[in-house]
Amino acid sequence: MDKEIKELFASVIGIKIDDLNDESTPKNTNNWDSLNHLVLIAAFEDAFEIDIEPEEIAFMFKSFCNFKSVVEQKLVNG
Amino acid sequence: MKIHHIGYVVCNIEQGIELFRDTYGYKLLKEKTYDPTQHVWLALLASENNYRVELIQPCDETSPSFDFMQKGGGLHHFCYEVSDFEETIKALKNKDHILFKRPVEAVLLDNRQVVFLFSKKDRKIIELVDKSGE
Repeated sequence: MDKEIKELFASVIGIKIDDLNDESTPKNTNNWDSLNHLVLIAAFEDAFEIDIEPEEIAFMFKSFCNFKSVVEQKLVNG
Repeated sequence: MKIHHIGYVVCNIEQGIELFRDTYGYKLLKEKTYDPTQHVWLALLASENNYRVELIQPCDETSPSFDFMQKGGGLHHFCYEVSDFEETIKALKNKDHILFKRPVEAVLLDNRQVVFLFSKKDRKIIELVDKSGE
């Protein structure tokens, strides 16, 4: 799942998968700005058929670790 | 839906007001106002034929449109005035829109409720303002 999340994330914002890790943040990751963050949310909602709440969207904009944890949690909880 | 205003991001709100008022002939409807919910400076102007433009100056990097400003700013969103506020939010969510910020009171718009959504189809932000709070 980690790989799948990374692949989708990297492809949406046009970066290499190797440039992404748990310490990645909008500040140290190319193209991860506030607008592209919403493009990411849209892509993940559609790809994994999940709904992401406004508070989660803000939390996910802190780091890739946060982003991944919300997606994983939703997939586990169905 | 009826357009209420167009949101326009600037890096300096005084210069923005000067440009729209003194060069383009807009009328200043609301002076520079600080919005604590977004941490931005705002002003509202209207063109000669009554199109409203909301100027937005992000205060710092914690402001939501800061990176947009860094990339040049300009046209940021359309704001639509709706009478069935909650119903419109639900309907748009069912039509490929993401609610990315819950409704808040907008100090520039006499504390009427506003909300921001993101269209998955054209990857743009829209704002709704509640007409019932007019």
